[in-house]
Amino acid sequence: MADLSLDHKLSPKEKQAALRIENLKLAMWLFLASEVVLFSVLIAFYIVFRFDNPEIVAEVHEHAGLFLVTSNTFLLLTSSWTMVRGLVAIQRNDKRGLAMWITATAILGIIFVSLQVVEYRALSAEGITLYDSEFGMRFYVPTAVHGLHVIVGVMWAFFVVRGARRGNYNAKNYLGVEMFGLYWHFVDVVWIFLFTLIYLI
Amino acid sequence: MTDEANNNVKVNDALTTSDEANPEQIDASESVRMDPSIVEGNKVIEKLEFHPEPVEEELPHVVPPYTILFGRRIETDVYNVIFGILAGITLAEVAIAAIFDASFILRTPLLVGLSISKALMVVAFYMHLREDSRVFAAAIIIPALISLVCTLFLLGVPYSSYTVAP
Repeated sequence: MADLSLDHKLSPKEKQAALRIENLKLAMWLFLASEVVLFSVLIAFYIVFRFDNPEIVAEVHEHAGLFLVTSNTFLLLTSSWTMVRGLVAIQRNDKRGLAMWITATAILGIIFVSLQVVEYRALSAEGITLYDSEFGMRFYVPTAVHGLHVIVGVMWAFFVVRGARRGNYNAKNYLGVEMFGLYWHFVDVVWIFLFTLIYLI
Repeated sequence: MTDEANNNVKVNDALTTSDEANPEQIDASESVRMDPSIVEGNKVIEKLEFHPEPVEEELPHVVPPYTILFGRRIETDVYNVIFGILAGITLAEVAIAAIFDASFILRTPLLVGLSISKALMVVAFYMHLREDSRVFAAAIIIPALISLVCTLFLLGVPYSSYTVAP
């Protein structure tokens, strides 16, 4: 989106700027690729357990219920939508709009993590803890690592909001917003798989 | 003085008067256009019309305010449409999980297929991989595929240890 195509009409300075943007975006995608590997290991760890112990997982599903986690899924999907609305706002040079939408994204992220804590407490009360249950380790580690990513995303969101208020972004320079967007949407994609594999199957 | 010369003088006078009357219009003088029908024949100019050209900023990356979905035009941008589809699929997933609760074999491929379609939509539209460089796509797809193969391999390994025949 913020890429300047490296065509021959650009001056050397513009070409250098375009190359920098492309390099930064590639670096971000490579970072996300490393995250894919991390989450793949955690998800594979769970899937192997799930296929070999269907009765334990069915029991946990009965205790957990779907309402809370479905609400959380909608919160995260909505936060991805507010994120792209923020991007559209800055593409139209609407700095206040950017700050408003990214703040909304951060608030939705905070609610997501809070509801995750509520869910953990409910499961702990049922005896499903990290060490006392076979399911616990396979469940808590991937979801908690994901929650940690959401917390990092919320902090990054506030950093972007601060930049927006200081006028660091405009219609021609919004790479920082785009980088944050890539991270946040990736966190959403991970949750899409966790929701299906851990809670629905 | 000919008729044509007379007209020119009147046009110039009118322009000058107009400029003096409203200084703001001096800046916009480039945008002043006269309706040719007004200066027909010997008639005095009746009005001058202003057509200030709207200054459109160059915003190349803004998505259009409409979406073409299966040949139908929807009056909202693609991000809103994708959000609606994602929400709809999520509800469908919850419904499938409830309806096919007893049938693991039916439920699993349906739910995995829907979650993959959701993930692809987020990556293609929200993360703009559809329009970005293919190198970025390769950077994420190759490790994802390797991870998938490794997971399938793990699923093929028995959970408990191998028993050694006596």
